[in-house]
Amino acid sequence: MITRLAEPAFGVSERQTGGETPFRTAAGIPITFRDVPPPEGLSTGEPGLLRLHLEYWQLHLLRDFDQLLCLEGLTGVEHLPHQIETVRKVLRRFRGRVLLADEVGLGKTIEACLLLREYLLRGLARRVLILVPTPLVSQWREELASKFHLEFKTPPRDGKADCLEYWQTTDRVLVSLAFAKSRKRAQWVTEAPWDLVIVDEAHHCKNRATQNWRLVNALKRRHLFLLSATPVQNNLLELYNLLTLLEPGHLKTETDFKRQYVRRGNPRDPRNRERLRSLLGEVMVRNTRGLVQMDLPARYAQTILAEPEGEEAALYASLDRYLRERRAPLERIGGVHPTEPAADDGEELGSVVEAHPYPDEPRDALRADDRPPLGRRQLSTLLLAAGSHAGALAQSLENIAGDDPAARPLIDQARRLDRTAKDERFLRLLRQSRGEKMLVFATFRRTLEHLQRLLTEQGVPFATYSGAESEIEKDAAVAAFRDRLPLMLCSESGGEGRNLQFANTLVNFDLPWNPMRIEQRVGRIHRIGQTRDVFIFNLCTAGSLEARILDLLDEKIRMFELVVGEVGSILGNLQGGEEFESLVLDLWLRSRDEGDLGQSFDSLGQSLLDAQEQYLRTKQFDEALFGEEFQ
Amino acid sequence: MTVAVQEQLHAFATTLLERRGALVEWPAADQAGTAVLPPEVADAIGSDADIVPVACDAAGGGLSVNLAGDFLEWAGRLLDGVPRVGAFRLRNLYLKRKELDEGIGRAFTWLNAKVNFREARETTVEYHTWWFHASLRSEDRWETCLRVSLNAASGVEVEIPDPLGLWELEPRAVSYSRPPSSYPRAAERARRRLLGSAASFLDRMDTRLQRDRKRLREYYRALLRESEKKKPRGGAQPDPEKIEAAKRAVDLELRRKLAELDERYAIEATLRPVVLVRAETPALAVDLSVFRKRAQKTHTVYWNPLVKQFEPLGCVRCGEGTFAVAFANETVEPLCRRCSAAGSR
Repeated sequence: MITRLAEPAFGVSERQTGGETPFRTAAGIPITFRDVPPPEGLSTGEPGLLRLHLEYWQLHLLRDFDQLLCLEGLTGVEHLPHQIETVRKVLRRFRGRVLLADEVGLGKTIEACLLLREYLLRGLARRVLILVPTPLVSQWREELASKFHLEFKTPPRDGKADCLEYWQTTDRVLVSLAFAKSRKRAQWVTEAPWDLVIVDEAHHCKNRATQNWRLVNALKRRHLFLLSATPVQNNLLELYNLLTLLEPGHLKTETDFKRQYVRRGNPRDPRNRERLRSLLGEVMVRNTRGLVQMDLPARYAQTILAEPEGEEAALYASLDRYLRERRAPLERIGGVHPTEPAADDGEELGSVVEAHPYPDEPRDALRADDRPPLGRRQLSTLLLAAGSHAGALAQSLENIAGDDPAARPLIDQARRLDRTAKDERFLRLLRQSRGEKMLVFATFRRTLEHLQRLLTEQGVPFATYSGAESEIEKDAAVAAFRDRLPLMLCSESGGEGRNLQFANTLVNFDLPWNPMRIEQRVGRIHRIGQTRDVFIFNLCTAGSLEARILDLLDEKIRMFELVVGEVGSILGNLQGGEEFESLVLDLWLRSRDEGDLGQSFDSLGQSLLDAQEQYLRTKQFDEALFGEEFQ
Repeated sequence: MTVAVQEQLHAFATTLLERRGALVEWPAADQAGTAVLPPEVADAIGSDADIVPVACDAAGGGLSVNLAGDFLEWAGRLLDGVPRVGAFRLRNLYLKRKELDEGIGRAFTWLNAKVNFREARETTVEYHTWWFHASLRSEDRWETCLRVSLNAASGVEVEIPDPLGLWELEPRAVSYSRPPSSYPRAAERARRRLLGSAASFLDRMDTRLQRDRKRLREYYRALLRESEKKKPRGGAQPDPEKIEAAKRAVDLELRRKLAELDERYAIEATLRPVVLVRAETPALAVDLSVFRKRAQKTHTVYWNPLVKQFEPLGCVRCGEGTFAVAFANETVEPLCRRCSAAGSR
């Protein structure tokens, strides 16, 4: 080693290797200089022009950690003081390796996304991998894009991600843990270097013997954020395993840990509690409701079932026959026809059914003619549209009628329906509302248009907030709703991040199949700043898929009474690894008739109950372990 | 964002847009404004419209001038079209003419030679002042801006005032096809200066790395000890092969984790030359006769009118400027004290 530096004031030495001269710090950290070529081109005699360059680079220096960059330019993100505090703490103290263990509903995802944005903006991270449970992939993707303006790629399922090149060349990947850990891919995922890895619902990595733990442990990463509201589920060793992913050795060896902190005979009750908490405080942040004083008023939900009669009932019966005849009998097929766009550009429902729904039937048995079967996306859109309104259904059918004339009579049937049973129940609800401000959600653009007509006919003044409106129009809509109008019609993303707490009544005119989306809707008014109890009315047609979903969510797990965020934790505990809406479609596809479908939903309900029980047990345990005032 | 930062951004963005031909009506940082953009500027910014609102607050749409968002990105693109090299002249500066001999005596110490004053003449010298933006990226990030000025004739670094702040500055036409030869020397000086000013950052990285290494080693050593002590069930004799295999696995994992740690802490330094000012200045060149043993050579030192001092001589080995000068035996080239001592060892 040649120590060329005469003055060792900065403790740095130089070493000649090949053509380059890397420096090394006293501890041997290599410092590699990247060359940027000197300026070329015309010269100027104007000092002002040169100063512009200098000021530009001085502006880069203003980004110190006292000033968070991630907060600027965000849309629709309501960041709370404890979240900002957490971001600062992780930046300053935790050096990018932390277990974010806030209680459910306090916004761990927001904290992680703020941190992610901060790391990206400061150039501390470029290559980012986000691992989440399958049911939460689409939720994450949407939040990253809409709130944080961050585009992440989800690996395709067509085999393109089964090679190193994909993982090395894709800088921002959002993927389910199940997909990443597959034998076909784990090797490539772990071989590619990552600046930052985020693992949501990290308690799925609690066991060292599992592929989940091994995958995260093997990842080459500079920074790691683990997110879990319930890091300990059954045994303190689970916490040990999680923290060993973050900082191996922080809690010493497993034997040491057991000796010092685990009470013999009761692996859930720690010894030396204070010392353990102090050690945990070095790698973990946990905000609790008590600590951040975030208690929301109660919320009450009521399902209003509309019984279709006459032509309307006939339409649903014909549609059911048509869809069961036209459904894809085999593995999933993507949509061939463009479908009715949802009010906010639609939702993507497109995962793969691995098995034949009727293994005992010949594969062609369901195909009555040579017409192509409907793809999953088409099917789910038609089912959702049917659950929304006849107008939305007519439009969705119109989109496939070009290829399938058999859809034509259904379109005519749907168009003939002027008023549905749900319309009548909605109008009755309006009359009973006693002037309370009401936020009405609908997924489909046609449904929103229909509601606009209906309200105009009834002389009910209203505002509309949807993806079709400009920012200025949206501002005006919110202002009018706040100041004078009794009702605002909203599309799926309506009002996210806006202060709508002055309203306390919400109507789901139709219902997304994904409970997380339902929760997002409720979250528009059931949030910090809401001082009154919140009332939610869910309108659905009797016998529809939505009615069955509501039955599961409301009757079984009492979703509307849960604390914000708890439904995500419950879904995360669901076995299987499919998104909820995909599960629902699978149930429908596999059922032969309504009885069959009912049984399948009962079984899904039981799984949800089990998942909820597991969550509640864990929650109790974690509350006892960490206490209210952990920090 | 603080008010001061907003005002800084407001002033910078307004000037930049105007310099690139935009019409900007944006009275204050805390208000919204409007900019009329020429097509090439709209292109660079990625704006479809040529009349756009502009504000520090990102929520209003249009051009958002803040440190998050894409402001620095598009500002960088707009600056691509702005020259980064300036050529100037400084006239009518005072030049010392009296008591040069004594002045040299006071400024320099001749360590191993006899040095005589020969003559002084007025000349012009070009000073090259390079500005660099430097950043270090490791587990954390650190950045700074640096300025290095060199006498282009002698190659010696000199500490002159910021030339862009001098009121005597006059524009000068220079044909400029490739970077001047002062660049490698300036970059080397900047590199050293960067490592000097980042000392506390580097110390911090060192401390963290050592702490993490220690923790990892202790952890895996403890695992090794445990695997050695581990007794098989049923009181059977431990299988030495199994123990060895476990040890190897732990050792391998430790090495992998240590290598990962080294990668995590590896520092990537970027030194980006951002502006060069070439300032032609009158100066006094003083020729000196240097006698070293039986050899003799003439060297020139400069009296710099901007700092009103003699400039150091450049060490022929390390390039450092020095006022305590030794000379090589036969070539009679100047050496700094350190290089001279190293040569005699």
